[in-house]
Amino acid sequence: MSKKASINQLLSHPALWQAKDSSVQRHVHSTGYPSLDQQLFDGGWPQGAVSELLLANTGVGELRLLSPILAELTQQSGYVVLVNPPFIPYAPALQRTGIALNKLLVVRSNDVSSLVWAAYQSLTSRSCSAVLTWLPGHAPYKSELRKLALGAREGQCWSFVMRHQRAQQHPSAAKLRMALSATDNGQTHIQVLKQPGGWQGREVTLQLLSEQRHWTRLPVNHWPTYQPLKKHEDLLSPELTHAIPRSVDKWLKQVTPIPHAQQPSIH
Amino acid sequence: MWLCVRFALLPLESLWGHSETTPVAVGEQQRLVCCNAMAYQKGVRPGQSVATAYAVADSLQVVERREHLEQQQLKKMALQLYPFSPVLTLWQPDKLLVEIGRSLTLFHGLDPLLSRIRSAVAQHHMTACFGLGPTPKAAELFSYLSLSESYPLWNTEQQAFDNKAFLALVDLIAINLLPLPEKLIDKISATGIKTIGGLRVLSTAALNKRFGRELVLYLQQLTGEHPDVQTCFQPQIEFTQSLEFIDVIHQREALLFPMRRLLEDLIYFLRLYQKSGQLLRWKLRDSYQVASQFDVHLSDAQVDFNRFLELTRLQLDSVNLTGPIEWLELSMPRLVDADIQEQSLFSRSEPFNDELHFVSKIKARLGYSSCLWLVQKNEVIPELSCSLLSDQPSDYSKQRQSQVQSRRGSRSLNVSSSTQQKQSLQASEQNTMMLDGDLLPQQKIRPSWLLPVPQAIGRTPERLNWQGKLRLVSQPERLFHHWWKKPVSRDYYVAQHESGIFYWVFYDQLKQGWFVQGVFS
Repeated sequence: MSKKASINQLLSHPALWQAKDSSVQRHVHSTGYPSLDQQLFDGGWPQGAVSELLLANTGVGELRLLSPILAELTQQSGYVVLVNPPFIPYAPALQRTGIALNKLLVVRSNDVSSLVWAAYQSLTSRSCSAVLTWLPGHAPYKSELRKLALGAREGQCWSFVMRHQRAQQHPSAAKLRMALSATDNGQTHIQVLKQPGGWQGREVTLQLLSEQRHWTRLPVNHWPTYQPLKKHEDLLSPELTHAIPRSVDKWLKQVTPIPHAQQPSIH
Repeated sequence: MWLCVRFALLPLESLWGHSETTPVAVGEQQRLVCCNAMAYQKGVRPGQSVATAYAVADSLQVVERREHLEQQQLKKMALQLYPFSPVLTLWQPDKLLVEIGRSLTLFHGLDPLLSRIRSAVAQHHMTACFGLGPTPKAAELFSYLSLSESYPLWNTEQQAFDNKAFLALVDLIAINLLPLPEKLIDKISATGIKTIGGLRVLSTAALNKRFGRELVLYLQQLTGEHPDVQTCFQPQIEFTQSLEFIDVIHQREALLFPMRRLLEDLIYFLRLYQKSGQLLRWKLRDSYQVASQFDVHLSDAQVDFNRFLELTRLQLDSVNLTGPIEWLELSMPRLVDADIQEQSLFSRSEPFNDELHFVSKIKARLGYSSCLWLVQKNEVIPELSCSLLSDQPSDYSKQRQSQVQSRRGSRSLNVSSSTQQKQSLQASEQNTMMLDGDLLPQQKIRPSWLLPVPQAIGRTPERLNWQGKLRLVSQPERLFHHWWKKPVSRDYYVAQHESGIFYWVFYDQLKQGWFVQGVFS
């Protein structure tokens, strides 16, 4: 092979970024949030690479952030695997975001090496379109992330890794790194720490939980107070008490009404 | 036209691990039944007593005969020869009789058919002697001769046996080859008759008088004067096969070789019957007679030798073996009809496939309950409305199947109608499982994460405390249910933690306390 041919071969490698030719298109999938897409150089989640989400806390909005892509991927062939999720994924909520449950698998294990092995198997199987891995603690996980990155490249699927924000100081094999934190007004602040082809430090704040606008913050003195009623029998009309089965009767006596008086109006 | 396949070394070859380099013989009640070529060279002969055999060859290894394994091996070989002819009979202890006259056209003549049968037998490392004859009994007798004796009897041009040559060959056969009681053979020999020809010159009445009806009937059936009805071999549709080793196996890795052979047989069986299953059951017995077993779960119904082997290997690593293994069995319980997936020849390339092999791998290594499916149930109580199952819910696999069928299009209408019936049946069985419907009205918000068990929240007059301050931000949503068994009455709220995270909390009216149950993410 001539030298020129070998250089050409090298230049055509997808992993090689060339400054002069920034128009080389990498395969991405839109995040579903236009303002976030704008901040990302490639305009979406990279395919065949690891995207790392560093979370200040579990529940900062990571699932809402990923739900548009997951909803779309589960409508096509291929499975979505959740490796070591922190809690039980709640099926009704996922279904409402459009995620098809029959394409969703949960892998559990107590051992990190087993988890990474399982994630790698899923990534390289060509049967999974996305693999979400939650790595516990804030260890560097250098070789683990490297393995996941290799798996994602081999399987050409979307790999997401969720870790604690404190892991930010460690280097990572992930192509895209983001730090997610919650703001006081219920929004999610996203900071791009690393991205292929683009600048780091881009920031965006998203309203991921759109139902919030219907909520009202209740002042403490408006919170419901539940106190057991002293005279349960008052709730029932005396001529009906004999008609109610004992078990239901017992239950009825324990239930207190919703505190109507303190319920504020909905804005 | 019958072909007799006689497995001369069946007692030896039905045992696993016989080698060609050391003399091995199989004995029964202190007498040798058969031996391998190496032992034969050293002077060991079938029929010798074990003591004599040891005197002749001191390095001889004598193994006890196991007739049940021979039976199993014979059945296995019958299964191998079944594709060549449906008229097949097992003749105990070591012969298979195949009616091949009607298969000649299909296999383009006798020679190609014989060579295919030969290679099918050789593939299973069996030594076989062949005999051709117009009747089963003749074929059996000729299997003791070389095939070159009985082969020229068949006239290819006329597609018939040369009757004169056949009778001439029969007449030459020695009396002691006849499968008749020993007493009768001795009686015939005592009269000085050495061959069948000597018997056939005598009249039927004379034979009847001297040697009984049994011999007459045998001779008539041999020459085809009397019909010889055979019961055909009917293959059983179940798979259980075992191997017993001459030498015990000490290493885990070495077990894979016999496992490979059993798996090959299983794959052949499954292909032949268009069956598949979800479970491989391996049973092992060690030299201390301790039996153990392990199951390999298959997530999809793919029949693939390499996958089966890989999953078995992964599972074998975690099996606790207590001693050297001397016996191994593979079975596949609950066979189901194979899911034949037709694909168009020029299929469009799909980015991801829907195979579940990776699930089998994960389950094999990390345990059966490590890989779970999420299922939504028709329940109001949040913790009951969602569960994780190890097995793929059948509705999910049916959904997959229906997707495949819709891709197949109209060509397989009759097939899909029957599966649709099954589908509707299953749907009615599992009416509690909800897949497409959505019980919740849109305005009711639900968290993405559910805590396995609701956790109690501390309450002071000023605030709620759970790993920090919580404040309620939404209207209450009352949930009461199950009044007929264990009543539940809760008021659900969304609460914001001081870190900004939203939690799903409730006030339990029966327990009189606050709990956190979910996390909005």
